[in-house]
Amino acid sequence: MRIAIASGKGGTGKTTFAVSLSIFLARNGLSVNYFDCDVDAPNANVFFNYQLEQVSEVDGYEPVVDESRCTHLNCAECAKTCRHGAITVLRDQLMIWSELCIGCGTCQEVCPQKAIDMRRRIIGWIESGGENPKLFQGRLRVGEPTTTKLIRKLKEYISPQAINIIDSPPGTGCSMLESIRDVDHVILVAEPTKFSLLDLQRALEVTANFNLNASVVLNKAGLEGETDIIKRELSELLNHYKVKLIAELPYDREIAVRYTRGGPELMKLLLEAHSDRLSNISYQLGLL
Amino acid sequence: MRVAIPMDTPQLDSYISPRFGRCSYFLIYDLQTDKYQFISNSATRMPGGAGIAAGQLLVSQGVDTVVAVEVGPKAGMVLQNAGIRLITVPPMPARQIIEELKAGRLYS
Repeated sequence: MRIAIASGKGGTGKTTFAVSLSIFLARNGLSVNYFDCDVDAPNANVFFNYQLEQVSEVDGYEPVVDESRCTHLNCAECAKTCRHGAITVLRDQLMIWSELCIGCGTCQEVCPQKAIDMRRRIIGWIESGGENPKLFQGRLRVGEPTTTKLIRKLKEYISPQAINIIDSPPGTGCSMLESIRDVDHVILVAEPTKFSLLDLQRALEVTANFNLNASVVLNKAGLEGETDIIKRELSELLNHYKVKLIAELPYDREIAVRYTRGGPELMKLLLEAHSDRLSNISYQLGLL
Repeated sequence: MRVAIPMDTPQLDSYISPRFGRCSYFLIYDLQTDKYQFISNSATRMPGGAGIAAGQLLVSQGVDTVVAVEVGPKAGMVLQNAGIRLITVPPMPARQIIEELKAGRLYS
């Protein structure tokens, strides 16, 4: 079972919710893996506080050119073909921009002179720690232009025997798509703000396009400023996309205060405060 | 001398674009023949590396001089390695830049 937690807007409580759900499931006797797919800035371990070990290095590629075989501006097929502009061809030299190169190897394919070779380049690392939930996180090398390959490699640690909680990065870009595209269910965590609803709609558009089962958890329900208009807009969204609201987690100042400190303390509090709702969610998803 | 000037509107009397990589057009002007054309800047569609891509475009156009308000460090490297002379100017209309170049009043 693979369950992705996504949101669109950042800061709605994806990671907080995902960690509390996974600890809840583990305490109820299930074997749980947690995947922090926010490889640009993994931070779920702020809650788990595990000792992490590197379990693998992930390789990408970048071109190296044999300038003696290259005909430069007489050809320039590589530069014309590269959609990322990672190769610049001058009259008598070639410039390669690593920070733009995604390592696809198209330049090598199109070079009629066979002047291009691909060499390995580490794009990031996969780290793991803890027992149950067992945490896996990707860490992208600083300066690396794309996240998707690392997320794909991270998801190879998904175990069919376990409940796999996939914590997606915010947004609705490539990183989010790669994180959620093949899961069994997506839980979208929203908060009662205009910003969140706008991004929730984008996220629902994604799940509809990928034909994914989705549901919504409203976090910080009753947050100061929440209006009937926002509630109405949320229910209109849910109706339009035929998606269920599976829980409302009430805003609680004490939780917000503890959140600022991070660590397992917050999780203790959350599991006490939300255990009925977490159990309800688990039943609705058929996990318990 | 074959000169390239970043522009946002394709008119000689318009001001030079303050942006190099993401300008809308390049004015390509031949100072000997006074023939010129505006080419659209394909680099604007790049999510990153627009300056580099614009540099490549101008290399392919065979220009030997670029006049710009400002050029980023990477695009600057492309121009330098390509042996293209870079002249920076304060904002002014393209027509005035051409006149100043002809009068020999602009230097790199």
